Amino acid sequence: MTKEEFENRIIKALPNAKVEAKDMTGGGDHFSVQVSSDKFKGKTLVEQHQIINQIFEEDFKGTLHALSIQTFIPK
Amino acid sequence: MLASNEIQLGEVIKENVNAEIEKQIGQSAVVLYMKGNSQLPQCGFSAQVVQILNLLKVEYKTVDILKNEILREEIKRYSNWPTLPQLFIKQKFVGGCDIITQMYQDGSLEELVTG
Repeated sequence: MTKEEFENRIIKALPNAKVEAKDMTGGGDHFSVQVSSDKFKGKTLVEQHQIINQIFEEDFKGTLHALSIQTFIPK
Repeated sequence: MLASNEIQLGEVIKENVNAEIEKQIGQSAVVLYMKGNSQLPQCGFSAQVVQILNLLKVEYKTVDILKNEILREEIKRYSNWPTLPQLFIKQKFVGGCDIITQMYQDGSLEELVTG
């Protein structure tokens, strides 16, 4: 998965989200991402991260090894 | 070698894994599922959470998921969380490395473990 594919997957699930990803290894197996979305409002950090993790549920069983997430709620 | 705060694994089979996990997270107010142990973490993310717990000077126990393949998969299902490490405080799943780091920085982790 490329950085662009990765970002598009999140945007598809969370329209209007601001997404900034980095491919940490260059191999598409470890991404770091910052996501800002109003969908996170009223949710705990675990719940916010779960929204992102769920998008990549299938990938975690295969090629995706690690995903660092930072979530933000737009002001 | 077992670290002094490492939980020794009993026999883990799929049928008893939930009971085993509940027993493990009941052994201390703070229990970390990680790769390796606190003396010798086998992954950078696990090492980072160990470092934070040490900085907080909190007592904690660890489970080395590399020692049991069933536990390694089932803990992810138990907490609905796809990666390790995973930190449990007072039997409740609190987060992985990113969340623990963020909670350490904003002070809410210390509040949770001391409160």
